[in-house]
Amino acid sequence: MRKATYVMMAIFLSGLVSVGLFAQEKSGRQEVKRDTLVFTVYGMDCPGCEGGLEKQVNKIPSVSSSEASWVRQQLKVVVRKDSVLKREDLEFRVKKANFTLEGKKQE
Amino acid sequence: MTLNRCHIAFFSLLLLMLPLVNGLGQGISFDAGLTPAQNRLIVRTQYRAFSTAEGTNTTRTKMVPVVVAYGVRPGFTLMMRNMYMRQTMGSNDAMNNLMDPLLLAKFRLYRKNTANWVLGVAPHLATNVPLGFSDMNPRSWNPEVGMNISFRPRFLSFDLSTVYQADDLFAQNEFSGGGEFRVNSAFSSVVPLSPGGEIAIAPVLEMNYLRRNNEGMDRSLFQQLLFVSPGASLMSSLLTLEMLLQVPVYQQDPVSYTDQGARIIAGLKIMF
Repeated sequence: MRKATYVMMAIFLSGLVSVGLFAQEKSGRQEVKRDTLVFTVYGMDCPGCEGGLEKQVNKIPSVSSSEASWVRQQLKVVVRKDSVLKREDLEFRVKKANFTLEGKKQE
Repeated sequence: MTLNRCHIAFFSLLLLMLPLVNGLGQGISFDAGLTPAQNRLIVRTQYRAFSTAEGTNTTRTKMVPVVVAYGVRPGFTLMMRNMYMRQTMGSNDAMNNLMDPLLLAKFRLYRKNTANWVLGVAPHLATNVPLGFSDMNPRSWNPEVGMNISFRPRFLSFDLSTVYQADDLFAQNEFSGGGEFRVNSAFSSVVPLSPGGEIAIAPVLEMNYLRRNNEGMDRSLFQQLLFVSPGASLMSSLLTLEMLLQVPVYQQDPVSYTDQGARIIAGLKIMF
């Protein structure tokens, strides 16, 4: 039983460090540019949902990067220079992530 | 047991009845009614430790299941589970076993996303693949059918899953037809630990009920187990750590009189 406790403590400690590193890496990406669009997306209920949405949205050729927030129900999309982001493309990708695109908040 | 019209009718009836059972609030399970995003690859592993006692004989079991899930389509997920199990009976040497794989397909039946809640309903079909990796594995096909529901009012989470597992579908064993019915429920509250919610902690309370019919001659006997399981998850966008203590609050085993001990589960989920 003691051995099992040590194994579980080791898993949790290594996990805590990893979670911290991932979060730090994610917060480092929070740059807001001129061509950043912010959308409302419904359906995200935990941090795990964010990655799935970003993975889909980043597949759009005109998107250079994206950042989702499940707490704010928000998706920030950075559009490539001289590119246009079509709403139907974004809607298609948000659907692929099992979420619902509501509307554009601000530009 | 052969697959005849009665069994097909039973499975159809079960599928129809499961939402009604769920509606009565008789249980839940986690991430149940939601399917992951397309192309999302999820790897999940756990360490489980528990002991069982039959009279004065105690068996200590350690399990490491590994689950790989992939979102083939937004509404269709394929999963494969394999498990390593180590058992020590009394003072005997430990037995190491690699269990046969379990294949599972989950389909999205209904999903609604709103500003205040998310509701998902997803049935699943699964089966073991009796490859005979070790003597611990059943040598028969034991398929299962399940109905899963998830309701997420913002930072709260309710999940319910009901599963029926048939025993020995093609009647390969002398005694078969046991079958197993499981109801799993989970209630949790997701608490963001940072303003953007990059990290969150979720205390969870699960309830797990299992009823296994006797595989022997006397079909009227069955084993029943009810676990109440407090736990917690620590989540980020790529990684989840989970810990659960399954406490048996009710158990009935008129066949082997096995006494189930508490189960400790520590888990890790990585999402790509």
